[in-house]
Amino acid sequence: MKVVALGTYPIKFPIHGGQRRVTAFRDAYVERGYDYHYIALYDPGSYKLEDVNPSDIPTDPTYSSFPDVPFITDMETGRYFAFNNEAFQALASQITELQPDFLALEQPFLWPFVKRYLEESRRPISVFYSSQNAEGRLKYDILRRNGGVRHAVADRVKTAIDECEFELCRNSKVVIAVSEEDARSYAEEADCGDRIIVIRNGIDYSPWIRESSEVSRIFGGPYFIFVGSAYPPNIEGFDHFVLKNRLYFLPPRKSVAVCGGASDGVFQLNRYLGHLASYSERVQFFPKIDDDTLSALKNNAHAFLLPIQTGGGSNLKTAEALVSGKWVITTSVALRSFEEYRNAPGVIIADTPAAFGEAMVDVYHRPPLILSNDHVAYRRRVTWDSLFNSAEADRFFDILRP
Amino acid sequence: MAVYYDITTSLNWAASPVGIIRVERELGKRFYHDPELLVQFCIYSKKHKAFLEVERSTALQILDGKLNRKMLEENLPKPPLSQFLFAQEIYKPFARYAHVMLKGVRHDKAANTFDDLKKMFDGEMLNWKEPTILDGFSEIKLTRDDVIITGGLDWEYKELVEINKAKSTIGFSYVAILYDLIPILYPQFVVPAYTELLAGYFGELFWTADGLICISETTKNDAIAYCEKWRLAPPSLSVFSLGSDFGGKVPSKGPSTHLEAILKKIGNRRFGLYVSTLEPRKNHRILFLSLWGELASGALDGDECALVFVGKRGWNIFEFLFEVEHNPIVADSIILAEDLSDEDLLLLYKAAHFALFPSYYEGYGLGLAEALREGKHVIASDAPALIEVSAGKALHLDPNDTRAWRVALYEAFKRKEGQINIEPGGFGATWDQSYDEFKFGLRMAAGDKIARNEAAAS
Repeated sequence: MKVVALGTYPIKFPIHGGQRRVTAFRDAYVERGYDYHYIALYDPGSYKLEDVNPSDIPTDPTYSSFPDVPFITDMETGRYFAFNNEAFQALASQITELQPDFLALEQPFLWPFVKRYLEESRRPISVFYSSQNAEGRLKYDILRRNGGVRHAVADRVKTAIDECEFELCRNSKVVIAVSEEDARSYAEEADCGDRIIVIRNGIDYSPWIRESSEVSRIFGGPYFIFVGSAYPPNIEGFDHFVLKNRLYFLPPRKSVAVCGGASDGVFQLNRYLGHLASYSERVQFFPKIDDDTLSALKNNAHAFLLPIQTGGGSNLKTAEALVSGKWVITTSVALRSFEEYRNAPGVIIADTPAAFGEAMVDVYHRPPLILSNDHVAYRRRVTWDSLFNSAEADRFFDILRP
Repeated sequence: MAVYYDITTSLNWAASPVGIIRVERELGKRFYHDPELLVQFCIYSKKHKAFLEVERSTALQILDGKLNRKMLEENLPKPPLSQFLFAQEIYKPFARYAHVMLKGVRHDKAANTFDDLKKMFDGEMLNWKEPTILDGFSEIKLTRDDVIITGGLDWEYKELVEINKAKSTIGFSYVAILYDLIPILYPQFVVPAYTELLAGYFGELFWTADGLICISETTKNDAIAYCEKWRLAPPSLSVFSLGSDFGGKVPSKGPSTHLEAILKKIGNRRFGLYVSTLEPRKNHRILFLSLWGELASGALDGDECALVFVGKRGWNIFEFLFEVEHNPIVADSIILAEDLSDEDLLLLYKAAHFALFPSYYEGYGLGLAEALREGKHVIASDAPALIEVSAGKALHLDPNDTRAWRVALYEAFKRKEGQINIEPGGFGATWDQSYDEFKFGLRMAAGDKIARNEAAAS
């Protein structure tokens, strides 16, 4: 059986959550004997040639049905490959050559292309939708909060994405949702409740590196760790839940590690720059960090921070934080699809800046978390190994079977 | 075992002393004359990230308000005229437009040419070093036995992060006056641009200070609550009262022409006096609304009563003053004054029928203490520090209860006697008493070092 999956980013070097999820699914297909091909229709402004595979195709980032609206390259990519004949043919011929039994869509954006392809090719290919978020609502939030887009325009974009996503749901043999909440939304809007399977996000877990001279040189005491990409909700969440309380409950020594693409955005926040001298004593940024150092940083952290205010899907960083066995201070949004851990030992839910600040103060003064073996095992249920060995995953692969 | 008293704020202050400046100067003068302590004086330089020593006689001039930064800067040597003109007319314009002038020349060549020319012009200026007032002060090499005492506008003039670093390395003691935590507790009452600056200052202060000497139990309680909330180990906390005796000054002559003009506006009317900066926290508005209500209803007569607001114009007050000055009923009955000398202010207190202090929150409320010391009936808000300072001698009202303030204002104007049952001078602390209490707090914060200094002094 052959699966061809389409997405809007390459997975040659899986870094962000979406890439890692696609890669985990790829590995699961291959392990079960499927012939799996992934084609990325990527933004050449965001990925260099060395970041993509030969089968990946660049989109035209200037193609725009919503002029002047930022953050919608993914949506425009689907329209470009559907409505630009040259682009359509380039992708269609590649798919036809592969002769897939299934077309899997990572995110709904390429549905306009797939719809046209199925109509024109008249080939009996089953489609399934592997959702990563309920995209319309998420996109609306990003456009309003971070894109400076007016409600009316953001709402039109949301409506366009919703229509695309729900039509895809209706036409899919199976819909994989990433959280119960998203599953409910698809069931209500697309009437596809009997075809939805929830497979939340997981992580590849291997024991973290225990020691690092750099980490012990920088941090002389307990520290919080926040890992995030440059994705706007990460920066906004850190601003709202962490910096709003200010960091003066921490001594003037390194006590917070900010890792990943969020670093620049956090540094440029008014709430950070307004206290630059003091926070430079307390916060250490790791904008570009190698895997070993990140692994040691996580291993030696006192607590993980998940200050996410908006966004959909389920957060890979949440899974990492849970598996760590450390204290986890999280919002309900960040814990989405991991709700069963709400009352787990060492997991603290804080949904207001005040509560988040209180939790940080409280946890900072607590000893390192020590979990029983049962609780360690319970937390490790969020690894991909564990998720793909679940009844839900078996059900999914049963449906695919001819 | 040197004890340094920081007078950075006094050095930078050119106007009449108010609030914090008065505290720094009154305590400083007493440190200067104290035979039991060997106190030296210092200022902090952000540029040097260090404390600089101030010679004692210079320090006294600064504390007496006879010397300040502005005066020192006026006395700095000026560059010779030729070099000054060269700098102003040739060098600066050239530097600004050099790249435009060299447009068209290859980039690397333009850069070289510019550098060569700049070197040449710099050479012309080599003989002239821009002097600063700090040139006259030498850096203090602090030791672990030393104590720094500070109580000025430190969020403005100090880098606490740097002081803390130096303190961690050297081990000297740092004792500061804590006036209030208003920027943390009531950020809405702080100039917007200062909210984060002040929050950062307090945030760092609790990690830096060995001792905080608070100006009231209220402020001390606020400090304790802050430490409890953020689980900080509190530094040594003590309390001293502010002096309300204007440093023992007595009006020796009649009113100045400045005060005479104000008194002329008041005329024969009874007046209530509010001495405080004009800004939203001080709640002048409730007095305006109350007086307006009483005048409009005819309960009070504008020919018989007035309110006098003495204070600098602070932030976010422009529209309020416009309302006051353009309200046909109230405009002539509210008189604004500022920049009064201590002697004039004392005379005004004596002439007032009663005093007012409707502020939403205070660390102390010096104006309230000063009015009570003059034996005046005072209507004040029920802010905790004001209740603490009045010790039951004032009428306290909810600062938002306009009805209550109208009634109180009416009754105050109708009182036959302006004086209450306090002998003038019989209330509150003098600055000498204030200094003794301050020294007690100092011993709590840095006892061993102060004791060694006192032993050396004796």
